Amino acid sequence: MKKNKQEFLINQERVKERMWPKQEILEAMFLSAGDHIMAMVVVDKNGRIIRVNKGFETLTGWREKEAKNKFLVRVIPREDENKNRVPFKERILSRVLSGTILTNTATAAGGGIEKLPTFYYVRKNKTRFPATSVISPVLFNKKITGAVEVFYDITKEKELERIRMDFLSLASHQLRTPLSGTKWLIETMQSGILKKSEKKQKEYLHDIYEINEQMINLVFDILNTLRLESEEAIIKKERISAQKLFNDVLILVRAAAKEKKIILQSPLNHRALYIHTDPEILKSILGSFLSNAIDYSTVGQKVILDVQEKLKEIVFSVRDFGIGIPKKEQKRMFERFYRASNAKNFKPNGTGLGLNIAKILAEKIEGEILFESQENKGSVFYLILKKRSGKNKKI
Amino acid sequence: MNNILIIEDEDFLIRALKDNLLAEGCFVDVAKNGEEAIERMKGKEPDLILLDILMPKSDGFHVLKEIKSHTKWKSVPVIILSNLGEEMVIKQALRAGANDYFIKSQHPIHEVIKKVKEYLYGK
Repeated sequence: MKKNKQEFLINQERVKERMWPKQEILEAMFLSAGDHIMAMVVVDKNGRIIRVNKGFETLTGWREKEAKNKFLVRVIPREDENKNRVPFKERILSRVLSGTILTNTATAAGGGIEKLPTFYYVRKNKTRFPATSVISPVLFNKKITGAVEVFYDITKEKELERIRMDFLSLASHQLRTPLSGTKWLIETMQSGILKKSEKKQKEYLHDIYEINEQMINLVFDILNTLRLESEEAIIKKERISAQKLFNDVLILVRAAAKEKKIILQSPLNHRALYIHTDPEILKSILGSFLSNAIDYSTVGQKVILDVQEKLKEIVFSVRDFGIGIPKKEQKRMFERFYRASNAKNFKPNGTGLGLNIAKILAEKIEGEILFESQENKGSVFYLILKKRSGKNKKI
Repeated sequence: MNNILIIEDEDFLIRALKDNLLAEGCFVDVAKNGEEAIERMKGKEPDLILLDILMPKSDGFHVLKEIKSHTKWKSVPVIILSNLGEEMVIKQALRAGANDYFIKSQHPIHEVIKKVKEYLYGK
């Protein structure tokens, strides 16, 4: 009985396939815009526009009726980085139609979007956007009867690329500075001019050591940042008690605190508080706050870790009584590689990436970071997590 | 009795430059920013200046321009120290009157010292 039913269903599918016109499927594909707007245009063998899809209309500003029958290369001019127009004959489309290029990836051999030389298409309103396109000839009886072009606006990709390039450029500059330093220090030691002063030799070795520490931190933080940027985040959602969270986090920083005789405090009035989030990320952020608090306190000071439950949010805080952040520099604190002037003197081997990384992590768990600080009085850093309404309340 | 003024904010670079110059028998003054530099120059005019053009908290260009537009100081040779990737900066500095430049990571320190001696004693 079962087998017959299966066969019946399979036959039904086959009948459906034959009956559903391929035309309709193509129409649907052609017209849909999709999330990342995809423009499609069909031209005849002379390069005149036959059909366009909605994506084309959105990206270029031309309605189908305005564009129909016009030469595509005229409707959408193509420019290079420097706003030089690509002559019609040199356009990929023209070359495809004339048979000069048979199949084509319109934007240079190999590679994904990022590696291609940037070109721009110009809209109806004369503004332009960076694009990537694929053009294929339509063949009938081995003759070229037209072509189809598909293109996307890659403004977002270009922007991301630019941010990454800027970061890498800044990062390599940050590494070069200490490296030039050790080069000259080591060279000076090797030259023998310090042979009469053991004191100076010790000072040089100390400097080289510190610079090396700085570079270790930098490489670690730079790689961390790059990884965070490119990760397709799979954020866990676990239920963790504030008590366990605090225990785990305090263990991470206990050694550093002990070295400076910092007194770590955390009030115990939150035993019953539960948080629903990615515990590793949360611990990373709080760990970062605590490290900073310890690093920028003087010997013997207190650092207080706390959590408060509010009506709609849970607020974690780390308070220190150390060097604080000068008011004029506060707005730059989340900038990559930025270090406050007093921080650089107090702790030479900081990287300036810690808060930026914490901010990226906070965004991943839908949190927000704020701080208050006064120079020479101390700082408080807050991590604010929204409570979720409904069943999964955070407590 | 050659007097060199180093305008630099990184301690380890100051250390290396100073010790090498002292070993050559020069007197060395240090200023960690533009303001300090001008103060030092008012006190004692140096025979040569080593200037880090991109000190983060200080405007190396501002100092350079002030020195090169000052009637007495403009004849003092100024050698710029910079980092890789700052070609534009170096060009600007040369246009602003700097006499020479060194990209720190590309030259051993003894070459810098050699150039200093060339400017002090002639080639």
